[in-house]
Amino acid sequence: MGIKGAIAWRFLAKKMNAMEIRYSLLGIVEYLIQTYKEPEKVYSELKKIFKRAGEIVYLKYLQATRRFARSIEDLIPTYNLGFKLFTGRSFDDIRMEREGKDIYITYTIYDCPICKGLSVPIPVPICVFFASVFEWIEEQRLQDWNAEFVKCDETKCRVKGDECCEFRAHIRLR
Amino acid sequence: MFMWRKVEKMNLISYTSGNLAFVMYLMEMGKSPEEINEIFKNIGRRIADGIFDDFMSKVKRVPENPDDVGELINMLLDYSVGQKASDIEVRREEREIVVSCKVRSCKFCLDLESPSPMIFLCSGVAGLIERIIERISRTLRIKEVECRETKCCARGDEYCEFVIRMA
Repeated sequence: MGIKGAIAWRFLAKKMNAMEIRYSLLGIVEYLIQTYKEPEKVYSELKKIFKRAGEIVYLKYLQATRRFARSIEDLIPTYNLGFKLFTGRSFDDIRMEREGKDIYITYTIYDCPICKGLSVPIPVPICVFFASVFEWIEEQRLQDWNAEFVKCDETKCRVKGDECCEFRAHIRLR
Repeated sequence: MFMWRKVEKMNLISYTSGNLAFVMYLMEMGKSPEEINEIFKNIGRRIADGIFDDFMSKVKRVPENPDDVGELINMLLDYSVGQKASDIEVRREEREIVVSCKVRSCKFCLDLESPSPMIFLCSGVAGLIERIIERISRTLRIKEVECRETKCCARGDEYCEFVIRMA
């Protein structure tokens, strides 16, 4: 991440103890596990909850960075900057693939600051906050991309025993 | 700000926006404000268990007297968000010691507006304080502790207020 990300994190982000944010997330996850038991249901409810945070997160991001994606290719640096602003870390790898009308972007981080040190009793990816916010923001911008739909999921998570946390976005163009 | 400099940090908005989203979700699930406050309080207690070792290892002096709990709360606020209480008042009521802690411009609910005046968005902080004190109750020589958030900036109050009752 370049100087813009470093400035955004250093001077513009209002901060809180990272451990408390992690355990707060764990508290929500444990509540959902107690309520629904099934990993798939817990994941889909987590995603539903955090998509509601999309508007606040996006507005705070825009106010802090004054930068938004102007093309689909631009979603790579834009979300890297966003991740830096919200966690203080950048992704280790970002890949974009095109298959006809389908575009896939995969964001990978090995030492994920969101789930670091946490464990959950059932195999559910818990860093879904990023995927939920991505999906909410890009759903609002479908027309800008001339896209039919957008979807983003956490496909790997370290709390499940994966080697990294991975977020995969799928945009289908018209 | 002694402890604040030493802790790993993330963006506060991740916490506040996530909490507000969870409140809206619980309201849609038909939970009452009292139930929502209780759920958040339990999450705060969970946070306390998660951070306890790290927090206590950074505390300079563990209070041995319930009258000094205010100092511990200030350290906890510093450790959490780099903030201190605007005012802490300790009083004795029969067999209880009551500590009122006021936090102006509370960072835990920064810029948030509670969807209901009955929902105290910093109930999690009350749970956090309660559980930390509970875990050092032998050192403090107290039998019971209860912490409630009685005012919250997110409801339009001037400050967030946490009232701790120790028996």
